[in-house]
Amino acid sequence: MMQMPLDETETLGDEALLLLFARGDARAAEVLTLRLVPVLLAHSYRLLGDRAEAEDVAQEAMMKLWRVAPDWRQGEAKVTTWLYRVVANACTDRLRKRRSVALEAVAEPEDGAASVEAQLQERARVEALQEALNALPERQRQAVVLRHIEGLANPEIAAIMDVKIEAVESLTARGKRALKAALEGRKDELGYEDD
Amino acid sequence: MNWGMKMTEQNHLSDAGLDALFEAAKRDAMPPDTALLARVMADARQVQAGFEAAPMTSMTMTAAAAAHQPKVRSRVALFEGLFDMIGGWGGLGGLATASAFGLWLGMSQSLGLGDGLGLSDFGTAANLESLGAEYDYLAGLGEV
Repeated sequence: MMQMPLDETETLGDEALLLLFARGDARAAEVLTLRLVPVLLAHSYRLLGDRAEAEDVAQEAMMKLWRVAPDWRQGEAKVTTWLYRVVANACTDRLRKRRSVALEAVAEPEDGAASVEAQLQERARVEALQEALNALPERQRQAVVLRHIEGLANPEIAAIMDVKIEAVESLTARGKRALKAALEGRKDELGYEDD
Repeated sequence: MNWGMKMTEQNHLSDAGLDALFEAAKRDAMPPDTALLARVMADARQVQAGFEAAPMTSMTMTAAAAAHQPKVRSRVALFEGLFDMIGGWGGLGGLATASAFGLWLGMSQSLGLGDGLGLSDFGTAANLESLGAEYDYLAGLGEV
């Protein structure tokens, strides 16, 4: 007879936690929430460029995860891969419903060890990149974000986007070229120097 | 301020420059606020309540049955079911090796295996080998 130590919940993988959640374990829900919501929120924001909408998408994606839990087929797909697809679909729907992308107002830099000037420069760089991302075609944006910001490998991105790996490589390459071209005109605020 | 990024000869941002922007975006983690986390947890509780009330699949029937047992027994049933679902020890391959070993040790303690097998600790090779059948478990995990 086996018993699971109470303090081992946090060490379990997403699928195991989802199974426990489906069986009524409240601690599993808490661990999954703390583990996954930051990832989904950040990814949604990078696809949408809007914090409030990103929060809605993250919450909706988690709701779908909770609901699918009893029917989750272990081993068929990573939970995060499935969630990235849910987020991407939700973001696509929202992007189609709006004609233009409005950037969230620039947030005040948070206090920290870095100087105010450095924080402002960091914020400027993040904002510039986000604006350039927002201007990319949707599939290029998704591929670039997954590859270069989320840090996923091409096979997983291919699974998320339901395309071949070669297509992922093409999308990210074209996306990066477009980003570099778009950011060319912002060298002053980004602190670039000419060779 | 100069961030050390270079423009290419074509006056385009270099790969290194773009990578620096990606790194800045990674650092800009934008943690969720407590209100969002609370909403997600409230959703989770609501959905879990629905599992107990709704017509049950085979999985939720097992869960409901386990829920009516005392807490410790419930956890035993939960983990046994989990073990079955992921294919026993062999299915634990997805867990990091170290955590799998730690998990096993934790379970062994909970089960009182140490007492029954004369193992107050796992500090020696002799102790490990005296595990007998349990040693095979560890060997299967590549831990010994």
